[in-house]
This record gives sequence, C-alpha cells and structure tokens, in this order.
Amino acid sequence: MELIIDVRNHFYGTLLALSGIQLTVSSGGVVAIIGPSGCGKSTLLGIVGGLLKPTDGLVSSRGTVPDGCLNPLTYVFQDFSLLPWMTVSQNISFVLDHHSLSTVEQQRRVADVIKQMDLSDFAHAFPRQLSGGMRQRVGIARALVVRPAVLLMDEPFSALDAQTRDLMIQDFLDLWVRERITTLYVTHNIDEAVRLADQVVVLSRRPGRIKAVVPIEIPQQRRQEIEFAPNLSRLRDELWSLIRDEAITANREFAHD
Amino acid sequence: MIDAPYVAPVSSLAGSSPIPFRGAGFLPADSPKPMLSWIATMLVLCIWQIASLLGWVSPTFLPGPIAILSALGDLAISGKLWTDVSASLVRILVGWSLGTLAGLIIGISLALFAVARSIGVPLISALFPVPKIALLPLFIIWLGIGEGSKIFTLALAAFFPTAISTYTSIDSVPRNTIRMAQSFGVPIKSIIARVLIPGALPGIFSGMRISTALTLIVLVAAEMIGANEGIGAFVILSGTLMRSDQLLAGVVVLSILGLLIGTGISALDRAFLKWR
Repeated sequence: MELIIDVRNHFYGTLLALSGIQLTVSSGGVVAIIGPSGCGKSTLLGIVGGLLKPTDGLVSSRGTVPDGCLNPLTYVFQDFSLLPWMTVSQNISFVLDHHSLSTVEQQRRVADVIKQMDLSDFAHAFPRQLSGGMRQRVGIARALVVRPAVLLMDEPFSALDAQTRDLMIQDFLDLWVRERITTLYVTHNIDEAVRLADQVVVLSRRPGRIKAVVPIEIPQQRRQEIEFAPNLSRLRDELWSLIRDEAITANREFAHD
Repeated sequence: MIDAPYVAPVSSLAGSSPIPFRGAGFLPADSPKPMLSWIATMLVLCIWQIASLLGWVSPTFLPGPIAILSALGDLAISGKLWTDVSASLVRILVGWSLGTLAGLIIGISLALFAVARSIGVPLISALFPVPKIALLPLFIIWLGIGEGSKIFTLALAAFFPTAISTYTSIDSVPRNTIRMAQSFGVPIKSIIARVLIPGALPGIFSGMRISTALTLIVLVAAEMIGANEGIGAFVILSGTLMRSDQLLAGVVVLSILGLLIGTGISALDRAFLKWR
C-alpha cells in the first residue's frame, strides 16, 4: 500500500509544529524520518496513522492490502505500549479479539507471530518479566498479527541499549526483506536510518518542514558489506551535516512540550 | 597487546590511605527478625499481666490480658458474642458493598464523561471531608432508627473514597496504552473493560483499604449512637456498666475484624494483581 501525505500545517495550540509536509511512501518501501528532537517527527507519524487530526492536511492511501489484513496502518511504539496485566500471548490476541476470527484462526495467527518473533518460551510470561528487547519483540509480533499493509514505527528501538538495538535492527531487516511491508520509520538515529531506509526524509527544527530527501540506492541486505562502507559513511556525514545545525539551534530553544 | 593490566603490586601501599565504606543507602540491610517481634509482644503482655496481678492498676481502670480473654470466652459461650458480631457483620457487609458498588459506578462515569466530571467532582470534593457519622441523626429522621439509617451511613462512608480512587486511578492510566488500543481499532467498550479498569485496579484496591477502615469506624460509632445489638453497642454498654474487661474484649473483636478485612483485601490484591 502506498501513502500520500500532505500536511500543510499542524498546530499545537498556537504553536506551528509541522508545515508543508508533502511525501509519498511507495509500496514496499522503507522511508525513515529523521530530525532534531521536538521537530514533530512523532506528531507526523501520529497524523499518518489517524491518532492525531491535522489542523490542515490530508493523508490518503492507495493500493491493495495483504490477505487477511485487519488493520492496514499499524504502529510499533517507542515505549512498546504493552498491557502489563496481560501475558505475551494475551497482549497479542488483544488486538484480534474484536475481529470476528474463528478461535482456531486466531490461535493460529498468534502462534505464528510468537514463533516468528522467537517468543515461544515467553508466551505466558508477563511483560515485567521480559527485557526491553523482548518487550519490543512482543510489540512487533502484535503489529504483525493483524497482517498490516503499512508499519508506522515511532523510534521503535530507541529505548533499548546499543547492542540490543543492533540485533533488533538486523532482525527487523530480515523480516522486512521477507515480507516487504511498507514502513514509515521515525528515528533520531542516523545509523538506524542509513541501515533501514530506501529514502531518508530530513525534517528541520520546529516548525518541522522537509529539509531534504536523501535516497539510498544500496539494497538493505548488502549494506553491511565492506565495499559499500565508504558510500554509506559519506551518506551518514551528509545527513549529519543536514541536521547538525538544526539540532544545535533546536537544543538552545525553550522546550514547549 | 598488553599482557598485564597496569596495577601496582600490593606491596607498594606505602603513603596511601584506605577508602572507607560510606554506607549503602538507608534501606534495612538486615533480614527481618520475626522472633524479636514475638518476644517483644509477649513481653508487653507479660508486664501488663504482672502489673494487674500485683494490683498496680485497678481492674476497672485497666484489666489484665487474661481477664480480657476470659471475658471474651464467657461471651463466646453465652452466645452474646455471636449475636453482636453477626449484627455488625451484616451491617458492614451490606453497607460497604452498596457504597462500593455506587462508588465504582460513579467513579467510572466521572473518569469517562466530561459532563459527569464537571457536575460530580466539586460535589464529591465538598462532601468527602464531612464525617459521615455526623449525618446519622439526619438519616434517622429520614429512615427511622432501624437498620436502614445505619446501613445508609456506612454506604456513604464507603462511597466517597471508592468514587474518588476509581476516578483518579482511571484518569492516571497511561494515555499511550489507550492510543495503542485505538490504533488497533479496539472498540471503546473493550478499552474500558480491558485497558482502563484493569489499569485502575491497583488504585481501586488501595481505595478499598481506606473505605473498609472508614466503614469500620463509622459502624462502631453508629452502633454506639443507637443500636441494641452490634459490637459498638456492646462496647458502649460495657462502659456504662463499668465492665472494662468486656469493653476491651469488644475492642479485641473489632481489631480482629479489622485484621481479617485487611487480609481479605490483600488476598484480592494477590489474586487480581499477579502481574505486578
């Protein structure tokens, strides 16, 4: 599924948060949105998934959804947003319960994603018993169980330590290579963006505007290879120089949140 | 590659001074000592008993523990204990349940509906601090001296803490979890039943601890004002007759009742809040 994003203006009270965001996320692609903190990245993602109403703007979708898709636009949250009183498998089936799936079909779907995300040993554990990485695996499993057309990932790995994050990114990449789910990925981490995205959208500090769109032509599976290292390194430098000044200025402004 | 880390051999401590241990926080470092608790309790009881045996305090002023126990035994044998305890239990059970039920319903409405909140919160905030027992005479005028007025007062005592704790704890369920449920299209009814209420349950249970303690106080006071049966009535009657041993036996029963209620809520806590 393809997304056409056109957010002309979005205000928080009297404060202009986003302006002139026109963006197409093509089917099967990964678009990363980076920018300094407070630039409205997460706000934009909230608007795209229908959790925030844009002051002036419209987000549309085009194309088909996968077989058995129950929730075309599906989030993976930074804080995982698991329900602490439900076990891993209850957290996952929670998002299916209101759909009229047969018990067998529902159980099969839950079992499938639990297996896919390597959670089999933890199906009956409560979230507090899991590490951060395992919690986000549950978050991703919950997103996959509805067979989404688009994944909206809001800094999904930024609450994890560096090693765990690295492993999770690799796992997510393997998953994406298999399934090619259209993904909109918000992050403040340039490395993450450069490993995952076909296109990196750089937002300016508030009000967030599109400052640059940087395509990355190297296929994701091959980005760890040594021959591409110089290219990717140059890309990282380019992206860093694009947000550096914005980040410095943004850092010195008063926080409004 | 460096083979050995750069640490000086231990022989060269000359001229250095050891870094002292400065503490590890104020948390109790030692394991709890249950024996000590028992010994201390027994010691207090023994001193009390000896003081009353030696006649240091008159039995009317403060009877010894054995006298209180035997008074309790007599009451149990004569059957007087059971009539009073059962009368009190019925009142507190019915009153507390009604008040709690109403408190839950009102608390949930306050949390969910802006209109209910605008009307209800100032009203409840204004009435919460009123000692409910002060209204018993009014309820006696309304409902008569029988069970109705007492149960209504008890229900009112349980209602306010429950309504307030339900409302505030639903209100403090993280907004993110609600957004998560909405982002998956979960219908509002399921969000209430499976996100808001379970998330508020710990707070609701702590509200119940307060409401049971309050109803116990109001129960005794109400029974002292106008009842023939009940532990409160028994205590005040014993006082009038200068039977301090019976009076204190009644107090022991009340303290056991309070402990049982507390244990019951802890059991509920454990059963429903396994995930914590």
